[in-house]
Amino acid sequence: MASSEAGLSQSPRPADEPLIQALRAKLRNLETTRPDRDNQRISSGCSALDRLLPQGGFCRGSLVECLGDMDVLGTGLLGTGLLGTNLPGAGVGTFGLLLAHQAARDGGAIVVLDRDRRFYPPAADLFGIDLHDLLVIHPTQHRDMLWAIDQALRCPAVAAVWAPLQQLASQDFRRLQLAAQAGHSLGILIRDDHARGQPSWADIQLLVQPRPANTLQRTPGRRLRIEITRCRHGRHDGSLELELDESTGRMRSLESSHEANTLHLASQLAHPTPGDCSSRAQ
Amino acid sequence: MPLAEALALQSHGQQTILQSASKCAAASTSTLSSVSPHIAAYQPSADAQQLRQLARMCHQFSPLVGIEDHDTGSTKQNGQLPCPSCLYLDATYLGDHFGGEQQMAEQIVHFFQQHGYQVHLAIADTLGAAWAAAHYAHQQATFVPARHNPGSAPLCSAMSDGTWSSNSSYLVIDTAHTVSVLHALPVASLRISSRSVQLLEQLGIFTVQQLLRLPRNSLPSRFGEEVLHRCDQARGRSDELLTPYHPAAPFQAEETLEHPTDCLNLISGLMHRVIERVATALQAKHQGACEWICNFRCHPAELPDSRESTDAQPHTLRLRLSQSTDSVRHILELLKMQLDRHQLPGPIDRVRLRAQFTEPLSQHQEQLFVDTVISSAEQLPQLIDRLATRLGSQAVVRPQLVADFQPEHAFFYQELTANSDSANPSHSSNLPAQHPPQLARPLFLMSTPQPLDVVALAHTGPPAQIFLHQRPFRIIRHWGPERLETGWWRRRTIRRDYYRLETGCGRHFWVFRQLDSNRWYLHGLFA
Repeated sequence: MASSEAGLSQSPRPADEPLIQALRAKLRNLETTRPDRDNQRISSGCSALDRLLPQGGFCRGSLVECLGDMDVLGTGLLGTGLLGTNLPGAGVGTFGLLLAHQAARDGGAIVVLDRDRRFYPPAADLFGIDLHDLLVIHPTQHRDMLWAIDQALRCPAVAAVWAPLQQLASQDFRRLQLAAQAGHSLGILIRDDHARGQPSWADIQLLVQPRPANTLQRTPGRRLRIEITRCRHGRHDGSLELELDESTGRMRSLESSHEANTLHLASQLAHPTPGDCSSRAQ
Repeated sequence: MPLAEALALQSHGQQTILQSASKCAAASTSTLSSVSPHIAAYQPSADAQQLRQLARMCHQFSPLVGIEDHDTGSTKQNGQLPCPSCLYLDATYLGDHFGGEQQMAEQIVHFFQQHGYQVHLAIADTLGAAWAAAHYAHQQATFVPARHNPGSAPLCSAMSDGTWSSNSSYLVIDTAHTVSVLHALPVASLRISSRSVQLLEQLGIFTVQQLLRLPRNSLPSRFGEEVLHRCDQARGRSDELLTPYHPAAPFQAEETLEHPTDCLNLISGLMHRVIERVATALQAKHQGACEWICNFRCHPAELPDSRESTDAQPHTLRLRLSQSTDSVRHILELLKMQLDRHQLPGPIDRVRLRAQFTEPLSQHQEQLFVDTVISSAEQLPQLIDRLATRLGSQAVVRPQLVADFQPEHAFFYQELTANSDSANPSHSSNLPAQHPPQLARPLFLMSTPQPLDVVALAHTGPPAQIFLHQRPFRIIRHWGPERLETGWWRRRTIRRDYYRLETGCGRHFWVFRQLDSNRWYLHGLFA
């Protein structure tokens, strides 16, 4: 028993990796009715984030939940004095729109659901989104909003649907997932982080949190921590920090640059190597 | 430009606009308002549609009514053919029916005035002479300066050869005086290209009389065949045919029941039949329609204590589509969607469907199973139609950028369904955004900036702390200021210093300081 537990905790041998990948693919095919094709992958626009995702990107015909402090998105309480401690400006909406932009790179329209009429198209233009391919819908009621998302997801000419949603019943969630599968489009649902832990029909659920940037940095980029909190086809324990430039819509991982530029002094002092010494001497 | 000067120019410009709007209303607007000018964008297709409607109405004056086309009218401007703006009426032997040609002209002018149009009308022996007089006789004094026209007769004497009425804007030219009236008109009145007009004016030839003094044989070699051909047409030496305009029969169909019914399946079947008939007629002409009007004749339910039967009431469903179609399935789906959301006042016994704003459809290969496969080019318009049918045309829009520095006016939403007011608006849609590319814009913009409490270290500097709902947030980074001073032509000058702020917890806000009042406002969220 003890030996088997020890075996489970060990990482798989490199020789077993192809077998594990094949088993995972079989499991994916059993779990979904969607045919597994390579061209369904959508890159996030950041290779480090792609590596973190179980299938190397997002799948067409699926839903992605982006959670964050987005109380203002669905309720429009800012300015009315009713907004609670949750505050906007967290960056989750921008992150979701950049995913939609990535999904539309091979063609197709982006549909934005804007119930509060606060969406500002010049920002989307700065991200590089062609406004000719952008459709903005202004529903007034929640059920109209769900219906519009459903219709847009079912349309094969739509590459991605970006929709802030506060409340979403499970049966509506399932309906949207089936619509995304039928239309082969990517649904990006921007939700409040209170939705974490609730039943979800999204393939991937991401928690997007703002992080303060280095005060010496003068570039307009902002830091976001992306954590995979739920994933249908793999592990969901990954997270990374991104820098997002809202004037260009570019994302880059801070992990690689951080690792490249940081000297791990303690570990290096504990395990000095001749190579390191020689390099420092030079 | 100094601000005071700009504001003065603004108030002067508004007076000028008022005057010019009342002058130009005949060509571009259907109604003339002297109280407040209505300035709308030039829409060639809407103008052409309106001109066709006027041509249809002018059949009460003449059995032969034609619309100016590019071959017979309109001098080219800047190499482009303008939209037709002229109607031809064959008045041969019709004067007696109106008590004379002058009375006929008066009645026609009065008819247009009643409909809110100012017209210039001329009756002459040839199409060319009538076109020339209608377009240039009323403004000849400005086109023929005295110094360039020393040999010609003065304007008043030239016009006295015809029956000129400046008050009523019409001119009736006798047969004997056609040539003399033409002589006083500028060369552009001959409907020649702007290039030929420029060439003639460079040579000092400004009037038709000066042109006709040149040797006839030399005209084609010096100015091309067009000039001589137009001269001959205007003087009646060359034939010119009037192509009559025959309005197309409306695409409509109706189905009637013996007894009124409120059974939705039966009503749906009736709708399917009328749609099929209209679509078949459209397909025979390779056309589609972007507006469909379905009219029901309803019989409201009678009250139990009412002894009189209620009259039938019409109930209309109107579909405005993003692009023309002849698809039975698509129209039926949209009409059913509208029918589900509208309560019919009672049982119906007649369904009538009419297709409006028809246009040729692009050619596509015939399908074996018609209407079962939707091409990719049709999928997005059909989605737009479905969304607009349920949510309203104002709820389905596409953003367009505007070259305006004021954030609130940096874009507008364009409706995507046919004949919507905001389609083809006056803003230029292809203009680039005017803000420098390195300056980010927030994803969410407040419709009304929210007052913000801040703590700033310097009087004109960025905030060091902001308060949102009485909760303090320390500012660790800021970008700006981005000073925007604009909007004076909207009678309210905007003077703001915009900052992008990052709080200690990593949130980003877009705030500005009003330079006039030194107050701070939250305007956008980098959400």
